[in-house]
Amino acid sequence: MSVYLELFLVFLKIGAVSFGGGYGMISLIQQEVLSRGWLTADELWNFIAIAESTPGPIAVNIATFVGSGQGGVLGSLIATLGIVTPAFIIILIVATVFKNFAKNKYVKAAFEGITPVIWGLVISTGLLLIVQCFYANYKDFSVSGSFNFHALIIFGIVIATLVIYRLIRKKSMPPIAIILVSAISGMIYYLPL
Amino acid sequence: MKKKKFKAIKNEAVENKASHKKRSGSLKLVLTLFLSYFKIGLFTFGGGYAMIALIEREFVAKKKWITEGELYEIIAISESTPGPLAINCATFVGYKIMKFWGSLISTVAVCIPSFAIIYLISVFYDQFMALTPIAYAFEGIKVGIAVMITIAGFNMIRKGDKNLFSMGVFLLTFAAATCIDIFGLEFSTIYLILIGAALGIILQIARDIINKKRSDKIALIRFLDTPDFVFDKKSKKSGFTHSMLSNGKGEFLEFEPKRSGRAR
Repeated sequence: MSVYLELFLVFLKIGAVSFGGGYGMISLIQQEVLSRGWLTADELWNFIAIAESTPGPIAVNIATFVGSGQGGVLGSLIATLGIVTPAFIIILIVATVFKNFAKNKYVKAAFEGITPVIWGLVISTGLLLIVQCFYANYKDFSVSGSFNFHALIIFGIVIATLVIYRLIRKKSMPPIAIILVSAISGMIYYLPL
Repeated sequence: MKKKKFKAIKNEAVENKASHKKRSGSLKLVLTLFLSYFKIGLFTFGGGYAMIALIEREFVAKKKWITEGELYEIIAISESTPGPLAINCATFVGYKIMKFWGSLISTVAVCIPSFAIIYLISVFYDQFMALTPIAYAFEGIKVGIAVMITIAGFNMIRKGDKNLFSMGVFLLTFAAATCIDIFGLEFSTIYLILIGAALGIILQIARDIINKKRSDKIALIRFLDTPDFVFDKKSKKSGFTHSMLSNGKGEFLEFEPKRSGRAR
């Protein structure tokens, strides 16, 4: 299968089942992209950070990035097209034919089921990622992984900043500020531990 | 009251103006739509919900192309359809303003800024990451992102509808997704989402059946419990039989007060 076709189809699939905003689809993107070897786990997380600090929906950003890595400009165009197409077509259909789509009893019911699934996916992704920061090879039970103390310190700094911000400003910290704080605290890797 | 009426008239005028604009479909409108969405795409940091505020300012407050109510409808629909919220919103608002071409123009326009920026980044990514401070910064950011995603997840639950069903599905999905990741199982999360949707629909069908049974039962009880007027020849008493009011031995409750009997 040509790379372009595969890019298009994979992102079409992701676009067609991505509910619950950017974080909802991260676990799916992770599965699809890592299993194909399009990105390494590290690259993906670096890129999610970049996507968070640049404008535009995370999913579109990731599609563009992966596409560009696999097939240059054309690849990134095709991947972006793939992720946008389902949303575009579905919304067009809803806007033209099913005006009361969101009010339908069974659509609402389906979402009553999908919403907690998204909660589960997002929290599982998040917590596993935290574990991964501390133990890089947490999936490998045969070797006792070494604990990453740098990550623990950064974790402490980030949590402390979030709590202090919340106490002072009475609202949650914007994502870009969290990224800035964690980027600066990343400099502790210069210290040997 | 007067104010409301005035508001309604004003809204109508605005709508007329909008429909007039729709009809004219000039190049200028196309350009304005494109530029508005280009601007929105360029300044949407932090996901779809940030964009809603921008759309509100641009299309509801400033240009008055759509009403507040329409915007909320659009958000509800975007939330119940797949795809990034930003894309859904752009397509829908574009459709409201200029039908098919409107939706195409706005979707393309909202994607262009992030596409261009990310493409540029992807070209320089390797050189960029080779710098030690940048690599360290990203090690830090990884932790930040992990915390952010976890918090986002708990916030979703905090704002969401919590009941036995949703918490059950949540815990099962959490366990399943965690096992899939740790043990490297071949099971796409797509199936988890589809199973969730199916469970929701099954729950609704079950609710419908229970509600129907209950309403049938209530109708039956009402039918059976219609009190019958009875006259007992022996005691010359009259009253109502009522399954819910009688003592269960087939005796009936007195209808006429005793006093009237004594008087006779």
